[in-house]
Amino acid sequence: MNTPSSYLPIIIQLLVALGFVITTLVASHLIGPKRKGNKKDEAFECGIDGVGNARVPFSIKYFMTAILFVLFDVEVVFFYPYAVNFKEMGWHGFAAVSIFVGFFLIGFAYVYKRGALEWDK
Amino acid sequence: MLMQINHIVPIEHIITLSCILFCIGVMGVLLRRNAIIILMCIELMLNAVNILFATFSAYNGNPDGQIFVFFIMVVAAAEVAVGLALLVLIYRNTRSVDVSLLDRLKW
Amino acid sequence: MSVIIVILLTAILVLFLHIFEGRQWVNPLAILGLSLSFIILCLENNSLWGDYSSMIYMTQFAKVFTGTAIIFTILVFFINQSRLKLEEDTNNGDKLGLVLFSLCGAILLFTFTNITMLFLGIEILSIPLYVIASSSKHDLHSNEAGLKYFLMGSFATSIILFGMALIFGATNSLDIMTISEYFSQAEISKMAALGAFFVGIGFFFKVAAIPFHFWTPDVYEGTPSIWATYFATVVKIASFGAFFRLYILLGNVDNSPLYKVLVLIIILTVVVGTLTALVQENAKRMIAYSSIVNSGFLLMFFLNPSSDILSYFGLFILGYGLATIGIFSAIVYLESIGNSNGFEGFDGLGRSQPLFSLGVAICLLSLAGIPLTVGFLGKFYLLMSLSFDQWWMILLVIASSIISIVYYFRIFNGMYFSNKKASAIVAPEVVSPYLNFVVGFCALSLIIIGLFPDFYLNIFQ
Repeated sequence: MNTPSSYLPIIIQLLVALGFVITTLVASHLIGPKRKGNKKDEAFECGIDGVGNARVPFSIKYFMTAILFVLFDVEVVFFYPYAVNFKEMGWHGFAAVSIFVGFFLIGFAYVYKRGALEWDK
Repeated sequence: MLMQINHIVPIEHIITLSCILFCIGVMGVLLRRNAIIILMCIELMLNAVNILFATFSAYNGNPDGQIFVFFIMVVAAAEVAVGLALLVLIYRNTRSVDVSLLDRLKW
Repeated sequence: MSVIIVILLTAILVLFLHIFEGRQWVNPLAILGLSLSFIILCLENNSLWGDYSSMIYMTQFAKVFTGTAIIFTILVFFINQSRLKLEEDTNNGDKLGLVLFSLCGAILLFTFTNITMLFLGIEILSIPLYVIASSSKHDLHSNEAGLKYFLMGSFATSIILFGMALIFGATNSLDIMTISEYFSQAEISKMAALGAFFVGIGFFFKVAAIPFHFWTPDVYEGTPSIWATYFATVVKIASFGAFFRLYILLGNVDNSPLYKVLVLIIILTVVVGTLTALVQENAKRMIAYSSIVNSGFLLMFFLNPSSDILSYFGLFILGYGLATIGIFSAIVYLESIGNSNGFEGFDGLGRSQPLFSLGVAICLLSLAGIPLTVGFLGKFYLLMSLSFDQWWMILLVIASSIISIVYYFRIFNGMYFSNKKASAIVAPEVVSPYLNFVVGFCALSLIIIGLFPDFYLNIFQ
């Protein structure tokens, strides 16, 4: 069992993943037209020129939304086991999942009421 | 159903992989000074544990381990949310996420 | 398990009451909800909660510890009430809600019968605390305490998880009784032993045993004092409750490496903790080190686990918690009148607030282990539990207790024998009745239970 060939599926997957990335990068580099110049690198009709590092300022609104998205998104993982055993668990399982979703709605109502989702403030 | 998986990769290899990942995470937490990288290393440790649980679950035919992985994933997301919020709080006050700057409280 | 449900509902109510213009009712509601949950706990039978696949089991041990944790939380909320009289806090509801959520995690830690519940309990206990620690938003000390607590806490959790994964691999079960049966065999696999080792290391982080203690003084100092009280008492009880249960269940390890590690860590914790506490100049840091030393004492109970030990363990932790709450409420009072956290902040307190300082003094005496208090009884039973060939451990306890009198005496000295003019005393301001109540409650219970310990010890039977 313990032969190099037992890793064949993993190696194939690795090659496909790497191959896709490399191919698309190289292809877009070759196919795309290239014209360079100072004028071309400037911002086009966008008022003042770009100054400084783009990484310094960031908006706290995006951050809040992103964090809340991650939290609510990951909880969906608990629906997978329920979906698999949907029939066997019957009403009892449904009640449990409803309570689970209910807590979510409470959390969502709290987030909403606290104003974490307001854009203009 | 789980018992029928054809285990072509020996379990020792996966355990080794997970241990290596875990050690990388531990070293990162102990050696790096950037709080975001420390956070990433803690995530790496948690994911090493996830691999370990999923492996044991699959090889021993006991689905409990996979459920445990779900819990770890959800808790990790909550931890990241709190951790990033703390980092933003500190960044606003100090303009830096370097933990070595945080020496107002002495060891 | 209706206790957890009541506390959870209280937490949600508190969160929403805060939004809907009921700010002044938030704190009383939290106290009311906790009192209700305490009554329900007293009425509850010890029963398996079947609907959760028997993952939670309320033993008598768990019941006493849950009750203790609830009472300590109520006391912390009373201290909080004294602060609300003085300043407007727009986030009070959030903080109380988070504390209540973390109390739910603490109760899970006393009642778990499944590794999953243990993990969830640790995380439900910890995650709200990271936020609470940095709840003073514009204070860098507080932010830093939160970040340090977060990094160390999640690091420790990852280590515990790794150990759990190895134990799961070795035993193929998450149920604590199955795992316990596996560990009671004469021969256990290396993987299981390694797993137990990792879980142990993670818990040493959580209970702040030296050399895994270094986050404790920083977190206690940086966190707002009211919440530091919660950290020093309820969180400590919760981690120790879980660790103790786990150690008893997996504890057939008399000659295993874990036992030797435990002995080494106890010695380090008591010796280094006592000596470091001597040189502290800040009352909060001193208490942090004193809590580390007490962790060392509590770990000594692990050496000879038996059924009697449970009640002595409970008595020790009760004495430690009550005394710590009393001293922290003095610190909260001093901060509210603008004194520093240094020992000089206590100067003249005995003259300006005689009754209040009497209570604080009793708490200090109990921590130092002076007779007639619970602290003395706790140490007495600790010594009784050690066997004769652990005589060097007994010496360690006695030596550390004698040295500890020196650093507790520094607060005592400031309160009663300071010759400094009343410069440190701002005008003799009135102590809030809530603080008076908390200190009075702590001091009286320390003495009453110290005189009649049988009443408390019998609850465990």
